[in-house]
Amino acid sequence: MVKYTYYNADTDEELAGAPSAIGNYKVEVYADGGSNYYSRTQEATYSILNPIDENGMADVEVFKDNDVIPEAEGKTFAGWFTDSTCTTPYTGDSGEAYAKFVDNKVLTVKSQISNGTTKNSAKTSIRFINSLDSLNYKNVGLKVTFNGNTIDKPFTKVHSSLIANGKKVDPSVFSKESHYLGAYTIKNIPNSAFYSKFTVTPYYTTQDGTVVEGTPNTFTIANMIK
Amino acid sequence: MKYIEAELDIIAFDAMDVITTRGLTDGGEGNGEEDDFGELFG
Repeated sequence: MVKYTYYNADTDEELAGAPSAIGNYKVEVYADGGSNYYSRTQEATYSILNPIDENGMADVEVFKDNDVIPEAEGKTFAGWFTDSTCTTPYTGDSGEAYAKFVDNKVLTVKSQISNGTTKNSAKTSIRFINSLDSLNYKNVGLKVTFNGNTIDKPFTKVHSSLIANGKKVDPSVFSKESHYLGAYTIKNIPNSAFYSKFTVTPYYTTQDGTVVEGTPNTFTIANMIK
Repeated sequence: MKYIEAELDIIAFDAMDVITTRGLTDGGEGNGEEDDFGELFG
């Protein structure tokens, strides 16, 4: 008798059966020797890899069925497309499509505070800015957490540039792949909140409906005052 | 990249002007989104 037991290699959690989703796994094989042989247990680790071929194509169903977002080194998933130049979105739940990726730095967030803010100011404003490579998304937004409370701020307008203190802020400050900026300002922040953290996670929804979160960043107004 | 991030952080803003605004689904001019801290977290 041979018994196979599967585990998530990252968490050591035992799984109900052989996994099919992308991930790292450990399999434990127990061979019962019966009365004539020694019994033995052997372990091995293995990975189910991102099944995207060298042309960037993959079976969409593998990802959608397993609720997995495609991954690539240093890149962030940006949607499924029918063409290799990633201009026409593919919205089906099955079939083959091209996976688009953008530089990881595109889906990040930066911040600015109101000009002239000092540690003694009664109030200030903070503006969070994120970037996009194109307009080919359903929406873009920010999740802002402050003192354990999180607000979700989706928006559909983005900007090719912003003005900050008379200077133009170009999307390229994020990445050479960035061409648009999203901006969200929280006004009238009292001095009592200057030393508390804002944790901001940028996200976008691809045209096929996949919500992709970028790298969170944490900002404290007191640390931004020069 | 460290330099660029630091550079953006020190550009405080006193104007919300947008040179050009384009929408993901609908263009038009605007000043970005904004909310009041007290209404969000007060």
